[in-house]
Amino acid sequence: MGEAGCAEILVTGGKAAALSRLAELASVPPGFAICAAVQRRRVERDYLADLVATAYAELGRRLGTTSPAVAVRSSGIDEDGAASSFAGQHETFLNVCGEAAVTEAVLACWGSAGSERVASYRSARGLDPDASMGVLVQQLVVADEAGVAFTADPVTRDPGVVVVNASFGLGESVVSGSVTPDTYRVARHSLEILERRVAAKSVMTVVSASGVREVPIPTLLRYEPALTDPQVVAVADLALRMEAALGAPADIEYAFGDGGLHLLQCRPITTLAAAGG
Amino acid sequence: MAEALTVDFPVTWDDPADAELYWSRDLMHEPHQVSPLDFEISEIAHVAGSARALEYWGLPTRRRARLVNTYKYGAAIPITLPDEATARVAVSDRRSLSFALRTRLNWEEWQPEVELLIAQGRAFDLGRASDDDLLEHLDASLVRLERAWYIHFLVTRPTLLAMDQFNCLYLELFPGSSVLKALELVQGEENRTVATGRELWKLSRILDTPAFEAALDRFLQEYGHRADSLAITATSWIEDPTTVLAQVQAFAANPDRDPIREEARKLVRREAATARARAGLAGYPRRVRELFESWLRIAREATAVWEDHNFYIDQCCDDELRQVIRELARRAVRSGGIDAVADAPMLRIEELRAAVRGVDQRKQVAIQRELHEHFAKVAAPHALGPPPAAPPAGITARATSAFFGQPPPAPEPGLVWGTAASAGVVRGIARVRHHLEEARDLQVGEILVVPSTTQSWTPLFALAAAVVSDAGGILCHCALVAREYGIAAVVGTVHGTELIPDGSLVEVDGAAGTVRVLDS
Repeated sequence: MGEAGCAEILVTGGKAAALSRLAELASVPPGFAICAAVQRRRVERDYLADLVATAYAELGRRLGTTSPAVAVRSSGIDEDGAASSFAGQHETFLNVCGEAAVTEAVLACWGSAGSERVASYRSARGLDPDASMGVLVQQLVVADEAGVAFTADPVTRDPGVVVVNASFGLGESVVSGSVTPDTYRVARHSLEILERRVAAKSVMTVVSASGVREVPIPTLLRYEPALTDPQVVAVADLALRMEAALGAPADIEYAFGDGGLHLLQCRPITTLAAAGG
Repeated sequence: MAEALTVDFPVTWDDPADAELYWSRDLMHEPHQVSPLDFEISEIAHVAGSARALEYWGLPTRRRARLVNTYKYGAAIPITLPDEATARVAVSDRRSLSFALRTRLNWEEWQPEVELLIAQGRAFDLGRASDDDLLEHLDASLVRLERAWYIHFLVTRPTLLAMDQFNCLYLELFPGSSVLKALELVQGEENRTVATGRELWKLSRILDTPAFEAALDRFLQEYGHRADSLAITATSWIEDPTTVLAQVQAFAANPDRDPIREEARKLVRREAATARARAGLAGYPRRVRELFESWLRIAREATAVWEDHNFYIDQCCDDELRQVIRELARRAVRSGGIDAVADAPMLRIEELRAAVRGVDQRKQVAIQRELHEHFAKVAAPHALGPPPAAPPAGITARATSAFFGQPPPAPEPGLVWGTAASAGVVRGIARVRHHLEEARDLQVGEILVVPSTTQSWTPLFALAAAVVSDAGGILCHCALVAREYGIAAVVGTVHGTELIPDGSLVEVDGAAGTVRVLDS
């Protein structure tokens, strides 16, 4: 990640390429990508396992641990593009540990690309049904708070505000819609917080012994704001910097954890593009 | 006047409005008959203090107490419409929660005043005061006691809430676990109840040595300001240390029941349970882990505050008035108003004052005594009047029911249900004892079956294999002390003392909340 070869959409897929390009500008969890070409060549399982083992060991060396927990996400060469986000269409595997498990997760990502759900999404948008997919493997951020942010209001399309959604735990509960997150509206130019709408947050995704699971948020925390004001401003600022780098209104996924704010995903806001905004 | 309800227990109300209210007995604090003097003192001090505290907490009810056929009944009187009551309770709960967060600080702010109240009482030389000065001192003592009980309810409400909130949080974080598991993490805090047991044990180590007498005296000066029952008119341990001596002898005969070693074992178990809980939350967000840590700390502090407030207010403050009453009773005997000190509880305060001045009150004593003797044989109903609509629910109502308990499942033949209060399965001989002075013969490994326990019963927990009480919930004193001593407990059985035959072989399952009669 962060190296030139990783930043090409056609090589590593949209998600990995975007993050790789942005790694200089934001804290992107360290990791590596399996090229889409590997899937196209339909390599032997052993060959893939060797590739993964080498890269995973190198990641471990950089992180100073032998078996780092990682997130494994699909990175299609035509997803996360300006035209279609594929948000939530492909599998994501969180808290994967050990080279064998990572290999399995990569294969499962490719398997999900052939799923009916994805196939119908593709055909509905006139995309190549056989387009191949890279896979992104990154150190897992054990998130304290996480969510998504948009550099324009996704509902009203007002470009003057940055909208930040946040809840406790990993961002999966926010992304999947299983929790109603807090919503903060921040003025684009002054970074002043214009509105804080604290939701009764019911569930959160936490790291378990093997993988992640969704659990109830304790009542005493449910009505508490997930983010402090400085955190809200930091997220809005990150989203605006990513927008500048993309050259288009941005939709980011972020997480606070392991001592800071991390960028987990970044793409143009597709709903605005589709609406001509 | 309303009509009689039953033949055995005729009820007439002086105030017709009382007939419309739901009256219930507090079986935990007043399981027995209450004397006219005790009732009047509790009206002036305890009930008045608690009424002001209810106002402080903004609650939509006031309480009223009545003495019916020598038993005390209490009723809640709504002072708002139901909708407003719900809103008030919600506001009050939020307020109580903010106090719960600072449970220890809250108590530490009040404790100096409570100690001052005690010191002021003790500074008065009862023996040398003139009758006039003594009667004036009685009024001042009642004012002080009312203040102490106002403080009592400002402290206990958030403290109880703190303990219950931790249990709720634990169950949310570890679904499928139990409140008893949660409580494992908070027991083992140093407090005045634990200290009492420890000091009694130390006394048992020097029994039959020349140092014993002086050490016993020191113990009584510190811990003897209590009686076998909560009644103001009961005799304090300082005046009659029989209970203390029985306990010291029991400890001396059973050197393996060392409470100091049990404390150390409990701390090891608690740290292991805490480490397991922390490991279970390792992958949780920081705010959840912080929430858990802060409520764990608060709940631990709360268990200590819970026992400590009781030592200072329920025991020491009450005992100050107890001494005044006893001195008045002695003078009433000297001046011929009554025949014996033990007759004083049968009088009202004004009658006791008159007796001190030599006015003959023996007829009044005789009337009341006859009434007491008559109703001692009658099973007083637990409640009178139409049951009320459910009061507004909320976090404090929940905590209160964890303290006072909830109705248990109906008993089955040979099986009594209660609240699971302290884990452990044990078999032993049931000793059904209604008063502490009857329970001094309890042998090691026997099962104590009681209406309820107060802090004064605590030393017996070091001998019993299990305790079963009619009253209380998982946070009541009996449950809390049983856990501190690591013995099984089932509380809130309501009918345990009636249904479990004295001397029968029973099996107590403290985690299931059952008592099985195996052989009677």
